[in-house]
Amino acid sequence: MLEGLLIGLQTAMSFQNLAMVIAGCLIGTFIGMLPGLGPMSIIAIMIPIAISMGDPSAALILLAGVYYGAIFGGSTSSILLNAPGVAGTVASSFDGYPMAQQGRAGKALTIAAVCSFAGGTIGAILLMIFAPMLSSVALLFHSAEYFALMVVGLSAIAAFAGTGQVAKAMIMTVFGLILATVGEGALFSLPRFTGGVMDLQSGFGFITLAMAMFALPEALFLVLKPKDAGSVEADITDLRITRVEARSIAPIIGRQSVQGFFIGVLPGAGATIASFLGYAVERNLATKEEQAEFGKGSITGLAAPETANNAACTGSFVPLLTLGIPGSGTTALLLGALVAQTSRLGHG
Amino acid sequence: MALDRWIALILLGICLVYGYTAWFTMDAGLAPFMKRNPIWPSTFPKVLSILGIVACLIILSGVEKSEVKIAEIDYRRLHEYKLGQALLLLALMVAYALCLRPVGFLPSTTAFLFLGAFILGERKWVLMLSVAVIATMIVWYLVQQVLGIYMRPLPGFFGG
Amino acid sequence: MIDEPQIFWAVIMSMFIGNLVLLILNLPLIPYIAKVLSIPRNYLIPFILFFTLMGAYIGQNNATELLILVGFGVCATALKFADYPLAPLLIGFILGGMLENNFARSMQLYDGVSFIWERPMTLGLLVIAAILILLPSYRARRARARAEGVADGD
Repeated sequence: MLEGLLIGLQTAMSFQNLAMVIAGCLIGTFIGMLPGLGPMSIIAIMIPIAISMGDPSAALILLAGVYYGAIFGGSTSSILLNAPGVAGTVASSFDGYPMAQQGRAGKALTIAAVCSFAGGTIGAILLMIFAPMLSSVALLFHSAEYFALMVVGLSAIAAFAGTGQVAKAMIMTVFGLILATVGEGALFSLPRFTGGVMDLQSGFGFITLAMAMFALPEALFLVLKPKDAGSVEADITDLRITRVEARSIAPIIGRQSVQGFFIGVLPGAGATIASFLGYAVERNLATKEEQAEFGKGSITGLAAPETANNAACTGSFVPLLTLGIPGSGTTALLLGALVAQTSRLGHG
Repeated sequence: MALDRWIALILLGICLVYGYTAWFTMDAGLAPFMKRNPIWPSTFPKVLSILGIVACLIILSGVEKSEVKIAEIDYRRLHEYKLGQALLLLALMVAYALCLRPVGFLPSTTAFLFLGAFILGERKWVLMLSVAVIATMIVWYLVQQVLGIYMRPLPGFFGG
Repeated sequence: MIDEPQIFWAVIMSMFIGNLVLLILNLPLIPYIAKVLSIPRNYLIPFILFFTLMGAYIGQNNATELLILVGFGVCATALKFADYPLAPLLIGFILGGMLENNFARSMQLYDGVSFIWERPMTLGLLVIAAILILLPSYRARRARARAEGVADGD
């Protein structure tokens, strides 16, 4: 392993590959910050460039950089504008946006950056240690387990069922599920509930719904009731995290990077479920006072999904790197790029 | 009756229509071989419609005592807020949606950004116009050149 | 890919470097990025609205999607007035498709719902979900009961 590590370090430190990492991360972050562009579309655009380089490791390094850069930058629009462009950063807006509204935007972005870094790094360490073992475990997961995992992910809604709100949270969840049934399902290739409208054949777009539910009402509220500019201005660029805050975030980083990584390992689960689950789990572990803060600008509520989605992002490379099975839509694109490089993949 | 009850009533109506579609119309066109499956395309919607109806009835019946909370915006005094601006902006968005294809990206986006600021009460004409034009150009460059997503730039009769 | 250790290790090493690069590049930029919020309202709001439209258009590539966006946006605003939580709707939508597909696939495989108790891992996960859903309300109820016992009226 040590030998491999050294070879890897040597390859990664070559001038070309270093340039690829930096370029990939930069492109990923800046495009990821724009609401509405997820890692999928960015990677799809980058693939021709990656292929033209003709070196599989450089191509993969570039695309991987774009991928986690996009998740990293995607939280920015969630936090500042309540406009998540990637499903994996939806949970970051639950607490990140209230924080920004309270004039703590700088702090929220710092926490997001630090937690993403920690999640990604710890995820990479876990990847190094566990990748060979985990590949076989991931294959034990069948559709039944995935179904159960989705139910666990749905349990994150409990966080929004405040006092006297249980029925409201339930009806909203049901309506979300109802909207998901519109269009052609993957399993039944029959269009359902489209009312004969052609444009509904493929169902509603995730970004459309995310924008309509989160960003648009917020913008309309801003129109209806202008906020006093002075109050938000206060310490918007204050980045400092106090020692007390750091102490409350540290255990979350520890737990969520591990949990997020292992969820990410499962093919098809990925950053979205990891972030919802991280949010739900940390809310249950929080003390009563902290729990009341969740959804209203809690730093722990922001740290949990931010750590989890980056760790999951790293974890989704396990099936790709060990078996040649894509763990998510995004890694499927990566795999496509690799196959185009005629590199031998997995055992199959 | 409070607003949340009225909304629950509307949602109940949607659930009933959805449920009717799922229970009585969807299975008719099902191929015979699919009827042997333990799960049909209509199974999940059927369950959802029942869950939705139950949840709506809970809200309507008021079994659950919800604490009266002062929301960020009190809808009963909606007219005291800048409702006109919000409605105009929504109309502008609809107009943008209808114009994007026929009129093209560049003119409609510039007009959208310009009129949006105008509706919100901005009157610095030169600044408004330059911001709108420059932002449109940047987004256009990004979407078209960097991302390679095709959008018709100009009205059709300009050969766009 | 284990067959090609060079790629495997190079990618992992580049992940460390990449994360570090992201942190170092982003931290100094945060004050400037946060300044987005101090853009005057008259300019910020049209841009937010424009980006919601662009996101929907690029995602689905049809103009109908923009009308759907506005329609749902109005509905969502009405729901927000009445204090309905919107996040569960989005969570349900994101997970709904995968939930149904996997459920349907296992139903076909097992010809019924027997997979729920026949597969221990599935059962375990469902139990975890039940705990995650029920625990908060249980804790809230216990806390309320305790508060009433103390009778400090809060």
